[in-house]
Amino acid sequence: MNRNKSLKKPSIYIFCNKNKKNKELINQIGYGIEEEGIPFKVSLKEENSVNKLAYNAAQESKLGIGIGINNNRVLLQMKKLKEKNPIFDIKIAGQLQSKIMGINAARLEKKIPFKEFVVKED
Amino acid sequence: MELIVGVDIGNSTTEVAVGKIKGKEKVDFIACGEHKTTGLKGTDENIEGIIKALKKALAEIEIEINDIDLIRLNEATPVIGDVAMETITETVITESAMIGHNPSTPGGVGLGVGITVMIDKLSSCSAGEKVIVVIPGKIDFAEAAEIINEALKKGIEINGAVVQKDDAVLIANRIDKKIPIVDEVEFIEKVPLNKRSAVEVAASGMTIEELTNPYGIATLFDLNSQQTKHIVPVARSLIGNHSAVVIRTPTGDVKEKTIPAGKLIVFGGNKKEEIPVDLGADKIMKKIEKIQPLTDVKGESGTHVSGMLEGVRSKMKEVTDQNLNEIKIKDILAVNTFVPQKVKGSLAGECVLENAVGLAAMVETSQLPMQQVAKELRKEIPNVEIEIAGVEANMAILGALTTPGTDKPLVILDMGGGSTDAAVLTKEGNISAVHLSGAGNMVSMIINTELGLNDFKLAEKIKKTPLAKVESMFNIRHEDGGVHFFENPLPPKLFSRVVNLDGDQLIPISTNHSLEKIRQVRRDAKKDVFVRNAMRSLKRTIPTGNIRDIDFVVMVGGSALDFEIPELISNKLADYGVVAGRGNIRANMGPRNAVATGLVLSYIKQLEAVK
Repeated sequence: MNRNKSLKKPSIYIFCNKNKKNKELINQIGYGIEEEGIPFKVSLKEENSVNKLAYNAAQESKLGIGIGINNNRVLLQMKKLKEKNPIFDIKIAGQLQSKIMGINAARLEKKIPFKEFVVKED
Repeated sequence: MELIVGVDIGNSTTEVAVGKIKGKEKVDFIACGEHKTTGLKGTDENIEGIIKALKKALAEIEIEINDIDLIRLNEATPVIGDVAMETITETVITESAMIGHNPSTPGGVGLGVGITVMIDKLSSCSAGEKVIVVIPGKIDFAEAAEIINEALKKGIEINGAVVQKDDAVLIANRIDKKIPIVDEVEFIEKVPLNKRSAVEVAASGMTIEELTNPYGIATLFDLNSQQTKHIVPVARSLIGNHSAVVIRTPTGDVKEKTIPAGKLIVFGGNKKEEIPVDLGADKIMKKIEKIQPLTDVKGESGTHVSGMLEGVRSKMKEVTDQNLNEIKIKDILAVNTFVPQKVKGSLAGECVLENAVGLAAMVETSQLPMQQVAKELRKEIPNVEIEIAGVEANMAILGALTTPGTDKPLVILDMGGGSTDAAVLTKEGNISAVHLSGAGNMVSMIINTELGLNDFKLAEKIKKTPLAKVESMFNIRHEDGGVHFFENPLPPKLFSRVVNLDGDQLIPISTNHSLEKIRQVRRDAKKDVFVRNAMRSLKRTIPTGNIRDIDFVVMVGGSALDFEIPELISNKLADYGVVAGRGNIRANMGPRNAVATGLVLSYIKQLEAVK
């Protein structure tokens, strides 16, 4: 039996391009997910295509929910969706939007309506 | 061969029936059409709608308007209805401020009491002080958690927190003590500082218990019996919340102001009765039934009721061009409802459901200028003969009788948008009719206000079509439990929303109401208006006043097309052994086209009479 696999916690996966990581953005997404009370895991990948990052994250996540990040472009993806058709594909403009992306990823699992990506910044 | 056309101009729809006369007593209906009534019923603007409905009908059979021999217009009932709403209770919080709302993710759990202190002033508190910390949006959650932890180390008893941003869980996860935290408090700058306050967060799946209990609040704030009385609205408005904050402020922070709901002054025969609106709909209706028939209704001057009824009157004045004092309100339908209203003295923009009474008023005018409409129509199509024929109720009965399975004695319920009309045909062939206020528009109004939609068009949609809940990116569950699967993912804005099914379109209803709640409001509104009006009209039209003395009730008109109104009425009337159902005019038109059909049929009756 593959021990590692059975220990894999159900969580939202965040895959980020290794060379273009934006620490603050990843943190904010994490805070959003945490506020909603869902576990998540961040991994850095070689992959450049943000579509692939999000798609792979969703495929590997036990919850079937993945986020792909490349620079400030963030995609929310779920297992059953096609690679080129993510749920959200947003050029993040500010902290609040990153947090909302995290909140919405969690809400996908909690099955409650998404928050709107307000442009207003504090 | 003659071509006879019946044209029925209704409040909302203009309907047309085209009949081909065969011999002297047979008629073949060869086409029909309908169009939205243009302008108000009985005005020149109707012509456009008539022509369009006619063209639609004639296009089916490739006949020109000029080939028609005779157009018969209905003698429209001069009845116009309008609706208004008045709240009869008001929640004003005088001696305390409160926050009672359901942020999706409050932090911690339990009940905490202390003095409200702004987070940047925590350092000036001394050890042992009981504190509720207030955290404005400009302070980051990590910073806030750090400050709180430091204060806790100093021995300051932090018992709860009130946060502006959606940060409660983040803070709760980073501090060393488990305290209740309420977040998403919009107007945090209005939270009174240095005041005794209590914060409560319920465990998940529960609602708060202590702050919804007046004695609970009294215990927390050492209130005497008099003060406890004042706190009742606070406790009441917090019921059902998952988290709440109550802050004790000195008297007079928020001033109380109540507007009297006023009285309805009802005139009937030589009687006059004053009915206070705050008695509620049931008592109002009972009293009104006693004074039948009404000659006029007025509102106590200087009150909301008066403003409401005067509004109806002045609208009618515009339509009918009569003097204000000639316009008499001939029927009132009152319905109990709730209106979500902002609580005065609350800090997160929360609402409480206030009791309200919805009123539909109906005005009978002296004859609508149908002659004028006929004259204008003649100008438009000079080669066709046009006449005004028969009373609307008689025509509707003639049309309704073409429904298979009906016979005398029969009542038709014509349920439209503005009014509910009923006509009875007795065994002896006598016809009498009544017009009652309250119909489809009132149902929409109730749905609109009770759900706090502020969108009349959406309310209309909710009224007309069933609901569904989007359960995943790929499927919806209908209100009857059936599941519909989509091949392509649904738009994210629909995710997990309650939606309205408008044909193939899914329209999200962006409120926090559950599907069950919206359905309940919709069905209750329909019962309150249509079932009540069905009973009222039957009691008035049936000569004996006993519903058991009638065998058949045929529902016609736009609201009879509704997916549940006929069923709600049928259920109620089944108790009296009455056959009640949606009409099926000429066995294929459904509940539509009754009057237009009657207009053509009555022409043949005339011919027979001449013979």
